[in-house]
Amino acid sequence: MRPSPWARLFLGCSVAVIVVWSLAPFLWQVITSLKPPAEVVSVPPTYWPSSPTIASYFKIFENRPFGTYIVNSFIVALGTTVMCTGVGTLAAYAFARLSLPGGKWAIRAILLVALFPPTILIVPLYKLIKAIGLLNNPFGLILPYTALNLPFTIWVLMTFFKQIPKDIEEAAAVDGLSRWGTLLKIILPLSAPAVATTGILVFIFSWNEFLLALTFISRDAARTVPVGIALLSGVTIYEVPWDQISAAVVLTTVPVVLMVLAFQRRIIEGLTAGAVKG
Amino acid sequence: MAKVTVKDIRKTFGETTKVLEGISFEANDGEFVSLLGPSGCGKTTLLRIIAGLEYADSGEIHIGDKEVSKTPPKDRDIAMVFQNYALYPHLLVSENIGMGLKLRKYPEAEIKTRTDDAARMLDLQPLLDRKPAALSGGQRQRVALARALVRRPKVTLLDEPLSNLDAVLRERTRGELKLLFRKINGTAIYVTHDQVEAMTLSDKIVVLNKGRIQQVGTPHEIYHEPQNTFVAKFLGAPPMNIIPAPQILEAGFSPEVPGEAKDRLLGVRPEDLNISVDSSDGAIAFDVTLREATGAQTVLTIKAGALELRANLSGDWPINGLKAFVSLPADKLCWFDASTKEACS
Repeated sequence: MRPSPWARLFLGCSVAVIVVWSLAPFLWQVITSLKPPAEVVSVPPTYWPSSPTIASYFKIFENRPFGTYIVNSFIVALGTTVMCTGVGTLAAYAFARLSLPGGKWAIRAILLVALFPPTILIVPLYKLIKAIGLLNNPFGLILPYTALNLPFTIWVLMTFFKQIPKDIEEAAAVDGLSRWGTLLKIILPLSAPAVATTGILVFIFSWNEFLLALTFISRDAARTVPVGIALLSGVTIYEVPWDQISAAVVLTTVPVVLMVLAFQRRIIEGLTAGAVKG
Repeated sequence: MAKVTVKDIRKTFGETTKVLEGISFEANDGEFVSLLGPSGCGKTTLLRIIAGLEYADSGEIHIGDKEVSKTPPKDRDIAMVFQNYALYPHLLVSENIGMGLKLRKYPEAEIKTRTDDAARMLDLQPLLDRKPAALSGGQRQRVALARALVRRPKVTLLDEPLSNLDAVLRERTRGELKLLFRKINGTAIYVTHDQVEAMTLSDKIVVLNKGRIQQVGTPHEIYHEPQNTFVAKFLGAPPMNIIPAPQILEAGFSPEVPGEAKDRLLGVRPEDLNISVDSSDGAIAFDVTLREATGAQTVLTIKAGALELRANLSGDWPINGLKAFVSLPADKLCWFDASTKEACS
């Protein structure tokens, strides 16, 4: 049945409200980033910059090695994503399909790890990272990020793998595929949406992570974007360069948004994965 | 193509669940053998052991002249058709069919010819460039068959391949399957719980129950010379009448009982009973308590005192025929031992 025009209008309005509500903070960042510094703090605030300028976008690169931050963030986020999905896929497949002795307990223990708030891990993790000499090194972030994201990755992928009918794998075994062959040629193509989904979520987490990045990286050239933004400062400590901060936020959000849009179809497939049987 | 020998296969799940208790049989070169039995009789487990998807606790499997009990499935030179087809959803029909050949490093050209041959044999040519999701159940089933046959394996294993099809399609596919295997003259082992499939398709039937072989024989032997009451009752619809001999004598029949009547059970197929609306010499009168007409045949439930029998006659039975006169077919009686339930002659 087609919904009545009123229902459609109501739906449209509701969607509009939610979109505006969600995007308002980001929109405010965009507007702020386009204002000249003096206008940012003017009272009453202006809702549209009187003379829009993109000067702040250049300033963040002049005042700070912002390009380096972005490159660092990419290295860390991409490294984490690759490690996490790689290790996660293998582990999840093992838990889903091989009858491991004690596997049931191991998978619960892994979930338990995810229950620890990262905050309480910071001091021991710092000591550990320092001991193995990875402070100020992207791997000093990639390793703990991978560890923090693995439980989630393993659980999501394991659930997905378990939904794939076992017969398909047995057919593959009869056809002549090894376990590795089955994983690479049958299971992974079938679970690409799930792997893409978890990969993107891991990427976003690593891209945005602040606390560990602040603690483990003290050398400016090794910093990631979130820390870089937080440490943006004006000429004096009394001056907060809101325009530059906003510009930096916009600039670092855009790549993630673009990536998610590019993978959106896959994500949606991944989120509705159980609905269609293989 | 090759002979398959199964020798004393035993399998236990967990600590105590005995699934197979010493199974031995042979499938000769080019023979179509059915493993028939009720759910949970271990027939699928047995097939999976022959395929190498599971390993037996003890016993041997020979395919051709090779002992393969510990060989992984891919090196057994078998192909298998799964109950729910198990096609690769992300690959085209042609890729599904050609996968086994590709993995065995056949040249592209040969893969193509063989895939086309198999597709032609199963009417799949127009579907080769589709994915399994775009096929109907019957078409998927044929792709699964093509995938198995394209490799020209020594043995084709089929696990209830028709059970997911609707009744009409099942019957048609059953016929096609029979013609197909006659044409390629391949050794096949076919698991089913459907007696009609087993009877119509097989050269040989292995009847299983509770992890043991009940009888091995041709469909004719299984049906007409059942070795025990399980086989007698499992085949045939309605199943064979099995009555303690004393009850038969009490009702007035006088068959020649081999041995002591109290130790014997009489088995007689419903369609073998001589039954008539008119009384005749030696016939016993029964009351007709139920009349089930299916068009081509009529099943009667008839009663005389404590003795209840079912009779199956082709054609109709008069609707007002409340009395039936029955005599036993002397040459079509089966006798079983009352305690062991085994056939005795």
